[in-house]
Amino acid sequence: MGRVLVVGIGNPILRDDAVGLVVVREVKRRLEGSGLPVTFVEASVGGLDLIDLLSGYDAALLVDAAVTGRAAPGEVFELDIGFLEDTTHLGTAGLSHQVDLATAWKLGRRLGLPLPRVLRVLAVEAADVKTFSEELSPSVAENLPRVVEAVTRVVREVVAACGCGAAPGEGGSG
Amino acid sequence: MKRVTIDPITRLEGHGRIEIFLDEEGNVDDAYFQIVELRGFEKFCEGRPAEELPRITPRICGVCPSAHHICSTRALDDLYKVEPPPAAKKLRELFYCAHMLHSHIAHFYALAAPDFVLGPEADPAERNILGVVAKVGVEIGGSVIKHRSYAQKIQEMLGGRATHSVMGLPGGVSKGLTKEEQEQVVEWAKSEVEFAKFSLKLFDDVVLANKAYVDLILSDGYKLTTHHMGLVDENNKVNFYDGFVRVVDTTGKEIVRFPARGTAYLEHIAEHVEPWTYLKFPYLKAKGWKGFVDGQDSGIYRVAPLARLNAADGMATPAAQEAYEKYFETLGGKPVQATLANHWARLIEVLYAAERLLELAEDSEITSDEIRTLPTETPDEGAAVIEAPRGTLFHHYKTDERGIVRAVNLIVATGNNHAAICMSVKKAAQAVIKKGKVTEGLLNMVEMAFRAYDPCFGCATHSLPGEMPLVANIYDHEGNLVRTLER
Repeated sequence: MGRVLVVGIGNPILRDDAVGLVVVREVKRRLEGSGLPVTFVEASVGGLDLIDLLSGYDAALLVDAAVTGRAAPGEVFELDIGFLEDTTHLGTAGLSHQVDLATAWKLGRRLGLPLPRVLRVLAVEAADVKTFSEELSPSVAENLPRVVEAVTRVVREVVAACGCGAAPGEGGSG
Repeated sequence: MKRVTIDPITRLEGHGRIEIFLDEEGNVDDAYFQIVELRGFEKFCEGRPAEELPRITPRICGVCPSAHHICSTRALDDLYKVEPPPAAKKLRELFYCAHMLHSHIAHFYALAAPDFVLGPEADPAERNILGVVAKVGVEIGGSVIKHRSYAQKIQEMLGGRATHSVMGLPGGVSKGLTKEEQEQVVEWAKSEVEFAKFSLKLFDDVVLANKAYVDLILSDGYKLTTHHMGLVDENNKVNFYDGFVRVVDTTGKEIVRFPARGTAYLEHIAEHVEPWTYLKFPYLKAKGWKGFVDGQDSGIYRVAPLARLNAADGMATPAAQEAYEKYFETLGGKPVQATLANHWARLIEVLYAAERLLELAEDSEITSDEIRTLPTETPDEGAAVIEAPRGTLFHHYKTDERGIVRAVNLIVATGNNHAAICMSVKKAAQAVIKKGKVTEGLLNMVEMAFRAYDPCFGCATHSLPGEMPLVANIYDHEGNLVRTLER
């Protein structure tokens, strides 16, 4: 396997929760034929299942929806993932059935799973993640072209950072 | 690009909120556990072809998609009045046993074991699966990941996709099992049986050998006196896939039994509405809704592993049956009302799921080509019940004569347990709040109480950046917010 994995995360029928999936689908379309060694995946999983997905890649980029109240709906930002190394606090609430990414990531490391050397997380601020619908909120949909542009740029950065480079013949997507 | 550092508390307000109301003396008067309310699902389904529902309904929930997929598929059998061939039923059940293993293994090792392996008093920063692995060893951690992975691969093999399967069709399944795949599944299933036995042994060594833990499990703060619901086969043994819905009362006597296919549930279950939540509270019609109270006269029942073992007369496989007998012997006979016993019951179900998986994988019919009965009847109404990992799940659909959905009604597992979870939270809060004095231990007690039910939050699909926060708001007798505890 190897190389770079780009994962869009979300629920395709829960309005803005789907924004990560929509963005990754569009970025994949844009980079088709670019020869970049990138695999694109749309996933509706978290925690341990996400770690299963990431195993075996050199670098990974996650794109998810988030409700932080610190950005305008539709705005894309990078999550500071220092928490993956610095704290286990996030792993203790135990509210949902799954463990969170931080805990799963550390567990994977400790068990010697082949996790990516580079991991970056982008999030798009959502307006509504509680209503079943296949359409994004207008404020999120409006900003989509700029988000896709920004995420495409980060994909290229991640490819460069992991030293994977273009691999003619292998390229494209999966 | 802008960078944002997330404080876990700020994310997704309103999820997993606990509201505690004190009386004039400062003791707990009432407590509510608020589950996230997603909107508009029924409306979303209306107007779509019914055969899309096994692919739509799993999207309600990020953690048990396969339960909705199989329940929906069985509801379509009823809707289209069609009987799947034996091999198709076995393939669905085999797939479903793998799902149970995948879900239950994660719950025990990641969410239940930390409280027992490290102790309920341990620092929350260590009371997690990393702490468990540090204590029991990396090898066991690797084994947990491996056996979850086997279960996942079986689901993928039959489901056609890693998650959100596409196998279920009215009258059968879309894909069979080849001889080569069968051999592989048999090998994995054997390994799952051994792993299940190991997990029960671990529970023996860590929990049952420690009197303080057994006392904690049996303590009054973690006890409710309720009726219990679960799916059973024709011999009243636990079944996850099909059979009969059986309810036993607080004395262990059968009071309700109806087929897990069709709309018979409407005769036995009603739903109560509260002003503070859109979610409904199911209760037994024969008993009526008496408020958030337990006891023989209350209509409130429980679901999930504790309830399934209580509602059945035993397990259909030999090693699980042995474990079942030991469980009731140790905990003082049937029914067991100790909420924390859910963890032990869950492991007994892991063993049953593994043994049943092996039985089905070794069945010569499992590789048959006859996996579909084509529906020929006109659809109108259909319903089915299965056991999700976290409890009994009902799907009920009405369509027009073309099979276009007119109405959808679901009663999900956590919905069935919602009233009991509220009461368990209240009891735990009562045990730690005295005369207005709230200790930091509150969150621990409360967390252990609701976690035993393995509740499902519809929004758990995407879990970045962290888990949802746990917030407890405490109000005085005049309704003023006096304290907020959060983690």
